[in-house]
Amino acid sequence: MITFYEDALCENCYAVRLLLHMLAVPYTSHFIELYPSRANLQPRFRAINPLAELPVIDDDGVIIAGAAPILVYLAAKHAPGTWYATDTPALAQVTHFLTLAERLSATVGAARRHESGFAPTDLPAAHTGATRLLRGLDAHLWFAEQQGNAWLLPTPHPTIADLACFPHVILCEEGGISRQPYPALRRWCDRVKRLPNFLVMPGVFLTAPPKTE
Amino acid sequence: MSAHAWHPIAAARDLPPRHVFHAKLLGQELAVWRADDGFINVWENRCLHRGVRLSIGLNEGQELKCQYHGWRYASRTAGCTYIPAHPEGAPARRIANRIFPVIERHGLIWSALETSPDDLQTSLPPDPLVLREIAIDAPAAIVEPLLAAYDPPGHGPRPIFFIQPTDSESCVIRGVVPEPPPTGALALLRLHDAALCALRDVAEQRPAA
Ligand code: FES
Repeated sequence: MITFYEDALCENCYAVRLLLHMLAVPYTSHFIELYPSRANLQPRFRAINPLAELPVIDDDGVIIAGAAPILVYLAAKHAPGTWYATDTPALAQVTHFLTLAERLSATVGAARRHESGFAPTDLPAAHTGATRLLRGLDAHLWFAEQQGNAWLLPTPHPTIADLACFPHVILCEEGGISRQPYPALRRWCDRVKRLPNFLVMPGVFLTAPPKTE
Repeated sequence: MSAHAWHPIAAARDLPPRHVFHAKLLGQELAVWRADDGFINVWENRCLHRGVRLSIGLNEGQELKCQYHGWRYASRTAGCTYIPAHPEGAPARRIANRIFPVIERHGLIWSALETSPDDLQTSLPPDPLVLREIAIDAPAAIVEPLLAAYDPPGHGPRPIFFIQPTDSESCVIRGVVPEPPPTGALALLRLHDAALCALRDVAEQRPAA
């Protein structure tokens, strides 16, 4: 059984929680509050992850830390042909978006943590960086749609690339970054929300069910 | 830049079924959604209950439902049809959101903030190639001369551009290619996209220079 160390308001934990639910993998939650109590800095948690960061999973003794590595681990183990890529270009593309998600966390996510009063940051720099990344993602998805693709990778099934980026995009307005200039990103958010077993977190809302003929 | 003039506010493709598009025109926020019967609604982006943005609401096909407390508004009239706190009595039909005129033409969605007496006059073919919109953090007045000097990349035809003034500090370039070549549409879209993104860099740096 997997033990999932998580915080209810952490967007990186949300990415992992989404995949656990979409794969229907059973797990038990262990909540570590990041703010304001900073429970992640306690020796008990540092013994599990010396970096003192969330998320972490413990899969019967296999400990994996960080959203991207956990997504890779879970998807490669439980859904290699769908949620995780197995061929060469797709592997590189997935890695590209996992890296991009980290950069979103450092800009969009930093702005959100700043606005929540959790962690002060250089807000103008965070917004400048966020705009650059969100514009790039929006353009990527617009051209994907033109080619009949719904997801970040040109595959019929979504991948962990989508789940890694989604939390940052859907929570960006909490950091004072409007999604209004990014129509392709907004449509993609609707598609992610319509995936089976999707679940919300505080600040995330459902969308209408798809039209049925 | 008149409130009485038609402006493009979206591409037709921006309005898939059950989606709510978030637009802005001359500082006015708009919630734009296509009902299941194809009708396009352009509404003030504000719930009459507590002012929550309707662009985060649910497009349920014939009604838009507010995300917060579930007030519902009917397609076409924007009349409030349901208030959860008063499930017994039908809400007064005179409670209605503000609606704006709309025309779908040439692959674009057009609106005006004040009622527009005249029909939209353009000499475009019905189905041109619509470029990706380019949102720019610079006023339309700065973008206009840059677009006038736009040099189409490659040897392709020159697109026709419209500038959507989102507010006094920003705008959106919407371009259409009237007679696109029979093949290579995607490559043409990418060429113009790259050129327009470069133009945006110039427009956004200009005030600081
Ligand atoms: S704010 Fe829309 S229903 Fe309350």
